Amino acid sequence: MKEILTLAFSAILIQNVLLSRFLGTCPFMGVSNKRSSAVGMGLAVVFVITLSSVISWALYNYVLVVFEMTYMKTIIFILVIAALVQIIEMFVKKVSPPLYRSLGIYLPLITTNCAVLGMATIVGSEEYTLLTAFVFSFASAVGFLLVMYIFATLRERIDNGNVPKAFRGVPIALISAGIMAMIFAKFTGVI
Amino acid sequence: MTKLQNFTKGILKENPILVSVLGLCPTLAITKSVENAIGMGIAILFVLVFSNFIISLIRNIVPNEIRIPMFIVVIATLVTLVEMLMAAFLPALHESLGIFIPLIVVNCIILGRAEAYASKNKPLDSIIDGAGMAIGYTLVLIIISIIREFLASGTITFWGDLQLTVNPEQSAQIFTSFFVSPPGAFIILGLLLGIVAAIRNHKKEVKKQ
Amino acid sequence: MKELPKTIKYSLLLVILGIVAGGLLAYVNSITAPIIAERKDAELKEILEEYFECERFTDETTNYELDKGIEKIYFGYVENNLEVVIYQTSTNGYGGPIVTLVGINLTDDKLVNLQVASAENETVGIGSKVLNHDFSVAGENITDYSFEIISGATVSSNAVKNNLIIAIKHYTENKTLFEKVS
Repeated sequence: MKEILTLAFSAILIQNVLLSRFLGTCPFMGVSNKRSSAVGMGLAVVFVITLSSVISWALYNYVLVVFEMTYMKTIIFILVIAALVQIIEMFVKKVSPPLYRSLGIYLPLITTNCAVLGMATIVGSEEYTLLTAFVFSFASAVGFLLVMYIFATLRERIDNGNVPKAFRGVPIALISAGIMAMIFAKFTGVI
Repeated sequence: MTKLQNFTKGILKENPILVSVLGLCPTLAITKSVENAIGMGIAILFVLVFSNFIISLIRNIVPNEIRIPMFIVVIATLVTLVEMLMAAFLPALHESLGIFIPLIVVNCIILGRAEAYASKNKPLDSIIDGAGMAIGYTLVLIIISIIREFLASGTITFWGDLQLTVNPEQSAQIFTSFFVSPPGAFIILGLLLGIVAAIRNHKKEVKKQ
Repeated sequence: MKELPKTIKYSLLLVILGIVAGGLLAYVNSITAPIIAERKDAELKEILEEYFECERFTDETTNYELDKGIEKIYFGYVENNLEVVIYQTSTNGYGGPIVTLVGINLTDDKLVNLQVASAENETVGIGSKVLNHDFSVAGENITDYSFEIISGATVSSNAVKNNLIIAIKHYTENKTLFEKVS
């Protein structure tokens, strides 16, 4: 149990998927300027990452390894992700049209989110068990959501402040992200 | 647009990182050494040129509804090819680029060019577009890597043992590994994009007058 | 029903593309995989020779039943006698798997050496200390040894210790089988 907790803790804070592994930076810059869209995107990503990572793990260990086709993993993983996002899109459209409208283009963009394919690639290997695959991918995705939310809160303030014209938008966002990364880096000494 | 303009637009006017702000993930992660940047650049050049070429070739056979999955399969196959070749013939590079090689698949630049250009233009033009974009991307990667690697350790590694080093006594005082750490990456890129934006704004002002 | 032919046509196109892609990759894989495997073997031999001074090594992984955490078993021979049983074990540390090589001498049940082979997901400067740390277990008895946990890197050190425990357990249970070989 302790092992699982440590894994989760390190995935969320210490080796944060965004601030430490650099996965998922594009939506990080693009979506995080409003808290509501950041949270919406974050939750969708948690769902997609967890589900796709576990499915990728299963496909890798029970199909690809068995048929000695592990080189097909990148193709298979990305197709799984694309299919999953499609299904979720159709589901959300049917169940809650207003949510679908507010998420807009960000939903299909989850397919090209480095974090999703990144996590699937990390977890889709022989070094994880079903449980650790689930915990690690879920926790990492939660880390993503956490940073997205904190960052959106920050950006709402920054965008109202006195930023030099050239730095408005992405540049100042990146610099702020760097400062956040410095803070998160300090979590390593905790355990 | 002339062929030359088609090529150079990827380097300047429509530079994928500096102008379109695409493909940030690898930009932040692998720019720790110039060698990495060059290696990644070669990989992306290969994938982008071939994917643009192939997708342009099949653009009239691909039904619109399933074009995205088909593009993805083409790109993923090319990336897997690059990964296998790198693992076999350039193992050190393969290890330092790590997970970012398969992540080329979701690099917005590749799918972006496929969708925006290759699916609507002839093969030769698509190849030129791909090459220009890839080179533009690589140049920025190299510039960032030079800054980061130099500030971190006073060395610039071009390829393996081909290095440029500053006097080690001076290194200890000025250089710090902060610049190859994650926060350093964000900050350097942020500063760079800010400076580029400032230059472009200035040019716009000058043009107005 | 009008939809059906379209779906079939699209699926067919995708499947054909998939087969072409798969075929191409299978071909390239058949060329590159042996090269990669050969290099890995050479690197491995270099590592084994450095930490467990034997003349010759064989990979015995498929010949024995492995417990959880054991990735490989190697035999180290000196003058054609089986001297050292080497385990490649893997346990999860802080951020990922920590792979350790543990060598046990068959003649006197003593630990020959312990070497952390990879800890790439551990925190740089903290957990990664296990990589070059000398845990000084060489010469100790497998039933009674002292293992030093690096302070500040408890999780990573415990993973290494777990690797050691796994190796010793398998050795103790299978020792009679190993003795039959020499």
